[in-house]
Amino acid sequence: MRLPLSALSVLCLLSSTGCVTLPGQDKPLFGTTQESEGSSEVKNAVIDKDSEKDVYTLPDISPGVRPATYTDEAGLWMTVDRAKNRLKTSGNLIRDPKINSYVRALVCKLAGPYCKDIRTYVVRVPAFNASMMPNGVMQVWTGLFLRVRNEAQLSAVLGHEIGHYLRRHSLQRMRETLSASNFLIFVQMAAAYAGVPSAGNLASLLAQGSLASFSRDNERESDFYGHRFLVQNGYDPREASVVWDQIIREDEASDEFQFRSLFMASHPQSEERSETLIRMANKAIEKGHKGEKGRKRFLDVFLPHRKSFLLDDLRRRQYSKTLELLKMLEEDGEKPAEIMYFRGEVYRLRNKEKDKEKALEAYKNALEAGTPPPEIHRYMGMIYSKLKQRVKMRTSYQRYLKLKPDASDAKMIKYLVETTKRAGL
Amino acid sequence: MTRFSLILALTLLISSCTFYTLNPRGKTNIGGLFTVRSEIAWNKATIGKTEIWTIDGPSLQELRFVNGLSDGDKLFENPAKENSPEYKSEMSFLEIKEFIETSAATSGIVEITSRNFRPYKFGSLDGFRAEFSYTHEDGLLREGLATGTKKDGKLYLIFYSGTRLHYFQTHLDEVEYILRSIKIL
Repeated sequence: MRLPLSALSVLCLLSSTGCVTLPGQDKPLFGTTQESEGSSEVKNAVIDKDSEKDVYTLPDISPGVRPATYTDEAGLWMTVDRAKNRLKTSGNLIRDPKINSYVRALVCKLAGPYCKDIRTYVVRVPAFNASMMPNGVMQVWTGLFLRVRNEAQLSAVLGHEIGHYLRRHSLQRMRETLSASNFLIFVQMAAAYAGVPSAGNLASLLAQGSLASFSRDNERESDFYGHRFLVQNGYDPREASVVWDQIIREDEASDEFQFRSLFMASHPQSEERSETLIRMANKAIEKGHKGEKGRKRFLDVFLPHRKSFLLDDLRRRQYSKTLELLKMLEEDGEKPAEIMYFRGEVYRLRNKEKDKEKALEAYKNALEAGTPPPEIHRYMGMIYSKLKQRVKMRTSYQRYLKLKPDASDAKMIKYLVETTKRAGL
Repeated sequence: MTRFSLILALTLLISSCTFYTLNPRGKTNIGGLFTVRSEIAWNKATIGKTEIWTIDGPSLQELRFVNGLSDGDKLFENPAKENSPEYKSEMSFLEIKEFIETSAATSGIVEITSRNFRPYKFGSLDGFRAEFSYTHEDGLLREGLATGTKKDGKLYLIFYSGTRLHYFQTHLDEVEYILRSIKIL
């Protein structure tokens, strides 16, 4: 342990904020914080000056810049570059070209001259989160797509993450932690946080998140950047606060603290964030800003994948949160039969008192509302089997086989139908 | 004090390791419920109610015997799986399949696709069998097969899995021989 600590200490002693600027770069998106007063028309129109206080006095990173190799910032980038290489070959990566190109285009639209500096990876983890590494590698978790309703809301979260990169919050955090003589812990935590999480270790990630994540001041500043990106790109800035209202709803529905959203660990109180964001949004609207939500574009890309994302969410076994999420999706009005089907699934898998009956009711509602996935009949059959209603069980299984004759479990289902029939049950 | 700390650290380190011993070819008693015969020797480790057999290393290929899960037991032994499901003796074969898939999803397996889930004779007991493919967080594609049965409410499972490239196929014939040799005691 002593050698890396010494090496890192040397890096720290050599620390400076020097960056190598490549030729032909564009200017920073908004200008540095120090020079930001009056540097942008949009900013002057909507900025709440209290929210852009920069306690670390670091300038924004410039487009196309890598830190000079002699700096502490370069050391930080090296640490997370290794994590990025693991991420590139991870089994969690979503490789669907439509999702990737949509997210990529959105990031480029928001980040402007920083487009090439920010590399976006969509990762299959069923929780609300996006994260930014200091080297511009952004992870977007699939759970986020279930928890935003339109392009403006997604942009608010992506813009927030881009804000972390522009404002070099990781470097700020590292220096702050250094002053507390805790650098090694920071590096260990940063490396862990930068890794690819799985659904299985979310709870431990939560614990790490509270140590490795950005400070609440960083988060407030990034919220402000997210707001600014929305205004500058013609989105309705009020949608940023809606994201938080939804997360608060879902978290409040959770009956177990350990499953509260990862964002809650380090971020300012959600209520406070929501209030600040709506206050900034209202100011922008008072000053004549008009923005769109981009709902159709968002739905065109993500609605076809919602079933698969919901299945992942169900496997987290955080049933009260999933029920609240389904309620919000139902209010959204898209594919109601699919939502009712998943509600039935939550009850069936939770299997508390009266849940079998609740599940059957939800499945029946789904069948009345439209065309739920054919598996609904298999699950109805499984519940009728538990309730020892064999005739109904067989009818459900036979419907399932009719709809999916080549199902991967068809032989087992046929066997269950035949054996109960033969036994006269 | 320093020496004590060192000994304590080493003890903790050693106790966290998994020790493999040689399981010679021939007949082996598995969990007190059944015997199997193998034509080659395997490396064997035991963790709780699970025996892991491997030739080339468990990350490349492994044959896993899960012996008699009772109510409340979890399928995998890794402590990172706080929220993985618990086995219940009332589970049907269809629910056991779900139990396996959900346990896998909460333990780092990203995508699992099962094929041909069917009734299967586990020795002389009624059981099930399926083949499956899966991707772990490390991005490597793996193939596998699973068979199992219930006896007195307890769950007995056999999994064989390995990397799609080379290792799964290498000892598949041997594994099929082992499965055919199951004799309930």
